[in-house]
Amino acid sequence: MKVMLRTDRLAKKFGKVEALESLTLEVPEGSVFALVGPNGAGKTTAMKICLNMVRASSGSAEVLGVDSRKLSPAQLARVGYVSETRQLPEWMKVSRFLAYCREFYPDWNDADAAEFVRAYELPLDRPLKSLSRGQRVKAALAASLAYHPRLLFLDEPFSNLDVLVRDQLIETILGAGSETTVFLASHDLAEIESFATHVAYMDQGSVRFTEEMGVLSTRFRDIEIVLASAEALPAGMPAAWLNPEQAGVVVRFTIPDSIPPVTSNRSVVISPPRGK
Amino acid sequence: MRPAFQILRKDVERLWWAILLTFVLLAVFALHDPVLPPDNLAIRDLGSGDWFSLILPLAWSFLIAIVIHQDPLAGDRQFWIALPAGWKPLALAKAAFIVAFIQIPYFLATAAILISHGFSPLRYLPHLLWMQLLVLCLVFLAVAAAVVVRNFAQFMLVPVMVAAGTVFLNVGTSRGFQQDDPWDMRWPLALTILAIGAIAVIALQWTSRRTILSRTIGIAAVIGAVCVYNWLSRDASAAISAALSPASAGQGPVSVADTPREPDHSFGWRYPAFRGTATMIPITFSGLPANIVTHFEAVSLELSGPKGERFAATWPRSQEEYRKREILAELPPQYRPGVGWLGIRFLNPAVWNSLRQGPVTIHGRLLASFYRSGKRIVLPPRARTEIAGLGYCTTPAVPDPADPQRRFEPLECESAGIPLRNVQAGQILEGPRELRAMQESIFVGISSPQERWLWPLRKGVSLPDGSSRPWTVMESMPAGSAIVDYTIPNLDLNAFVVQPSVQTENRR
Repeated sequence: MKVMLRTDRLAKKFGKVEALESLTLEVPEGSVFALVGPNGAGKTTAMKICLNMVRASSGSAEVLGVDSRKLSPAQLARVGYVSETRQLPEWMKVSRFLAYCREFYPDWNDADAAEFVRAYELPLDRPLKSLSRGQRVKAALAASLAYHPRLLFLDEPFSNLDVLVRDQLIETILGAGSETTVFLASHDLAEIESFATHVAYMDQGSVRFTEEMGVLSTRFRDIEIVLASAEALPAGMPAAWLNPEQAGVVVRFTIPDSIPPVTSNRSVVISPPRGK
Repeated sequence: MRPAFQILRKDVERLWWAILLTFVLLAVFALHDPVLPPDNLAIRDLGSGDWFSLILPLAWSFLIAIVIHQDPLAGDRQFWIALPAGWKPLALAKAAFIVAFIQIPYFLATAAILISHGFSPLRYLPHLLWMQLLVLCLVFLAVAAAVVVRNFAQFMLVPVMVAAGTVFLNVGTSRGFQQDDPWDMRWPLALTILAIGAIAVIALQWTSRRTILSRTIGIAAVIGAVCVYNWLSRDASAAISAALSPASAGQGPVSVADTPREPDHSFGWRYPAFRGTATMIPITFSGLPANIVTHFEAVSLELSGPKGERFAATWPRSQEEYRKREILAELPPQYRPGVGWLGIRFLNPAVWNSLRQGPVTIHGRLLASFYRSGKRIVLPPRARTEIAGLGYCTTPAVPDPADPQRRFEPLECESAGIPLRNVQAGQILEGPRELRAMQESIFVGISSPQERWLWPLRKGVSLPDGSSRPWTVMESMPAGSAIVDYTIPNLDLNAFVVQPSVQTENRR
């Protein structure tokens, strides 16, 4: 198995805050590797270290077999990056943006870029700043996929997008085929479970577990609790309750299959094990 | 090269309006002579032209900040970082932008100014390149500030913070330096420290984006420059100036000795005597290079009294502070062979009474600046004459502001590079050769020298003494400087008193 991305005890401190704590993982070629965890878990920091945007406090990261701090332009030309926080040159029109990016990538394919523009219905004559968030992500994704990167970093690509746009983007990612390895960060397990092949769950800067999705879906189950009234979740949730979320009276979390569901006088719905 | 060109093209496409704005400012700057309004030479008002000394650098600084922040270095969300270009094409693109839209236009503007004033840019190329270097210092500072801040608003705060720190550290006090001291090294040293700090910040930030470390270096450089400017002593400044001055041909060791002589009542004290006892000690310098005009500045002076007591002369920062000093030492600025004087004013009667009791030893330090005199050129009236190594001088007929019917003929000189204060000028009396020679020896530098730091020409005007005698200008080229330490032992100060104790202080 060829590894496209490898981190070894990667750590990052911002002052006294430990944003990342000994992150070790391997992303195999052709996989869709999802780094999942709540906001502030360290997913974006890990991704930025891999792209040499942030300097690690300790540990190392290898991208396409090269130390991330020594990535050459030629190696970066085979890496894509789409992030909700990346500052695009918003004054550029979509057409200029794509033309600008085109000059940096020897493998840029004009036909593919045009196809993405058509599929995404991108308005070429409008500046990026006037686009909706979904359109901006589409433009960034089009600019990243047009040169067929070997490794594509996606940092929260689906957050705050409507379902239709999200499905369209997922379709594109899956359509990239096995030639592109995808490493994506998301705070929502549900939005990546349908297409991720590997999942690493992060919380408070460290990885709780790393699994292949097939294995994971047999070991974990989603729990949905409907409360009698909308009350806040208690502070000390059990460590095994992963990714807890609350929406009004509905509380969702994921637990390993080995842990029996909690029953009480409140109604409990246990979802079946997930499969691909 | 291709990525750099793409980044440059993108920046030009984005910032054409800002480029255009600086071009307009530069064009107005080139067309507007900030020095000496030509229609009224009697008014030495710099007027609106001098605003360009501030506006143009500010406009350039903002242009630099904007272009750097098209692809900012501080932060971790920049689009460019994940582009397969790296820092080298980015730095190359930004450097090309600055060269193309700041350095070259400024070079062309200064060359155009020289041409419009009759100077050949090729002949004065070293001066134009020197002006480029000065602007490059500004560029380095602006780039260094731009690469460590996160946005343009933060960039705007940098000069405000530096100004606040400057005020806080009480920078600007003269520390005994006089205006236009040729050996005042505070600005060059402070600027050098800032430029080195800026280069370090730029290199570090561009190659590895170590923002916190870069900011630390930048702040340290600013503090260092401010400290040097604020606390560099006269002694140190003079020593550095002498050490850095070009070696002068034929310059031998210089020594000082006292020689009895009648006091010179024309000795011009820099600060008028309101109190104290004034002495004038005749001094003769030996070992001065031949055919060289020497300017002296007293750097330090200490007097040892008969009982071993020591008193140091100090240099006041202002007229007010002068009143608080005990001993003040002065030298006439230009040494004329055989007529050198060391003026010492004892402002504290107790000090004078102590030192007058017995022999006194003077330990002093001077900075001698040498100027090689060239040909004497007599200027015909109302004609423009080229002075080799200097530039052009002319004697226009100008209406007298007090009486428009009357006209007078001032001497107006323009130079590209040579400070006009070094140029000896005067009106020659008709008469015997000895008289003319004597008069030449008391020529002074052209008065009202005007220099503005972006303007490539220096100008100066000497007003006539009322007669219509022809003006004469002598070329004068800087020929190095030297520190002179001297000791004058066993001096009876009573023999050199030119003004007995004056107790009535002028409290105007």
